[in-house]
Amino acid sequence: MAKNRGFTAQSIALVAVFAGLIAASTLVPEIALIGGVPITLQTFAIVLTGLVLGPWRALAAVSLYLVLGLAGAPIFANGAAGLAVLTGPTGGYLIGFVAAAVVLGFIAQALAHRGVLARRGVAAGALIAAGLVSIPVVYAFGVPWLAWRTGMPIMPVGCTGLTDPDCVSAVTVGVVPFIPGDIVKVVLAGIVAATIHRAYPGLLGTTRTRAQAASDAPEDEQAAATA
Amino acid sequence: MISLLGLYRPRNTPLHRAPAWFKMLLLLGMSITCLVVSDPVTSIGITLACLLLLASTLPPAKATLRGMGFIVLIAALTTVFQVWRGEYIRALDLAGDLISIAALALAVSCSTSMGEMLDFVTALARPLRWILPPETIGVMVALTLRAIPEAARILVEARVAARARGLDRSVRAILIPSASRTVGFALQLGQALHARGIAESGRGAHVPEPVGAVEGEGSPAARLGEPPVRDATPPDSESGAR
Repeated sequence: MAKNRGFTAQSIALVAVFAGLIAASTLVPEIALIGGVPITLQTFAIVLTGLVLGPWRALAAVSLYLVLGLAGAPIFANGAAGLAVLTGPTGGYLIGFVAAAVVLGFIAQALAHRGVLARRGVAAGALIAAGLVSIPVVYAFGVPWLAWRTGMPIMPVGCTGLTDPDCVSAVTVGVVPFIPGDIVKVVLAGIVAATIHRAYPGLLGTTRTRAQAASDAPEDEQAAATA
Repeated sequence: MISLLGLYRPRNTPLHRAPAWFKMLLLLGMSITCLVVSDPVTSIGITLACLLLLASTLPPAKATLRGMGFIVLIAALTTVFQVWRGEYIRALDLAGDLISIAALALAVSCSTSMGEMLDFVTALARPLRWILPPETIGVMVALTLRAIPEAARILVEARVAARARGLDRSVRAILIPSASRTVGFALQLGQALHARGIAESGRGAHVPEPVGAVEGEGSPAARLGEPPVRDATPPDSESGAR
């Protein structure tokens, strides 16, 4: 009856804590990789949210993070805050984060339903492969927005050399420099998500039927009482 | 390190007194106007007007300069690029658009408190109330604000622990413990919410109180699953069960 109305307490807590995690990932100092290259954790946190929470809770968590940031909490990258981030030239990436989390959530849920996440050796690889989907999704929103707001062409056309103005485009400025870092973060997020699914089975998928049956029991009872 | 103080400062300026929906509408309308109009003179006029509006809200100097500095840098790069390609008028128009929309957005952020803005968002989400009741949104926002320092603390602690083991360059040694502790924290929080019957308000609010009929068939396990709040409201249900 009321199965789809609202979130359960567990979902509310997961959504709120993951929104908090995304926000916190922009606040803590950067982590240095082995080569000394610093990485920020924001993309990692977004991908992890999609892979761990499933589509609807990930949508809620990332939207909640965006709403709090737009409402004025300084939780966007580099301590930025407020509406100027969304209306600025990089605002498309924020929309891309929401879309990417939902897409990843669907993939992760499908993997969980097929029992892939329960298999130890396969889970991390499958989650990393799923996470890689997020990269084109984020840029599919971010790049046209950047190109539109800064008047750059989307693709470099007739590019001949470094000093050629034709080489400056949204793809060469807004995508290529970030791809290596993105791949590293997605790999990390896939490994961490596989560990989480092993430590807490039933966040998504197969064991969900049992958990849901348990949480639905009081409601069925109420339905019987009201009928 | 972590401050949740945004751009807003309580002041008494015209924009501070204006309602949130008016400011958001102004921002939306002005953004569309800026992006549609490609006449450089209008563009400069709008830019000056937006900068004046921003100044009229008496914004905090440091945060505003940082926010505007970034956008001015982008605008400068854009201008250089367009001038390089020989499109002077387009350069002026694009830079004007970028700066004016950023200034107006900052003006709205500086003059609207987080509470007002969240009230506005909740009002916008009212058509969704069958899926997402306003109480649930409120609980989520409050919990998120509480979870931010908690998640940051877990991350920092995991780094300290990794460093103590000589693993401060191992990203896995930092991220795996912190992520699983974060999920564990969330699940405990969920149990605490469930135990207090807080989150159930959205689901069970319109279901009539089960009186009488439940006691016969209700198994002990199902009764344990119920939040204690509901048990407390009908005083005679406890005695009826005996």
